[in-house]
Amino acid sequence: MKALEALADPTRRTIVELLAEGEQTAGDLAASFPTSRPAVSRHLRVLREHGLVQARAEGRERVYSLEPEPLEELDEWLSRYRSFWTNRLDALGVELRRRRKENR
Amino acid sequence: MAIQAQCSVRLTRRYPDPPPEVWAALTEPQSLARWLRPGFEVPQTEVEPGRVLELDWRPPGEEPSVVRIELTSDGAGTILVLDHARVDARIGMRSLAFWVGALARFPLEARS
Repeated sequence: MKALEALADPTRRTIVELLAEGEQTAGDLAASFPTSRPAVSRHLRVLREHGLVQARAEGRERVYSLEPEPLEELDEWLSRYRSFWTNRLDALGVELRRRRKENR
Repeated sequence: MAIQAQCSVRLTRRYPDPPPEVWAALTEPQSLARWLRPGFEVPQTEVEPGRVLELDWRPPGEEPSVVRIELTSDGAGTILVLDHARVDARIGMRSLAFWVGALARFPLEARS
């Protein structure tokens, strides 16, 4: 099963959406669904196997969170281009002023 | 199944010049060379001449993306909206999950 197929399941998509708000224990996640806890655990295992979530042990609980790497990459792209285009549009303003003077 | 995720940088500016003048500064090679200096060739497509321009954005070592620039007149001036979107193929399917799930964290536009 590919990662995209892993997300075809509505329960798994909801799990990813819940984890986007912050890490949660397996128990808390299971409480958000009407299905049994073992069923939710199976979904979590599928997500983990596809590199979508990670788990760490905390006492007797497993705490799940999103894999941060793709988010960081996306964040880096967004901030790089936001500042690039901000500068370019400033430069366009300067160019428009220059053209105004030239056309006068 | 269709999960489509897209993220974009979207900036809006107002310039005091009328749309034809802004369009000229966007498309005339000499002007373009002064305000946009990306360090690589940027082919342009006039989607709607005078109003909508698309830049074929292909930086070396990066997935190609599209920069869409839209002009609307505003009084004597022009509102410019720049939208730089990427549909990610490079980090692949993994990132789709995060885009679907993490929309609240970023000023993103997503369709699913």
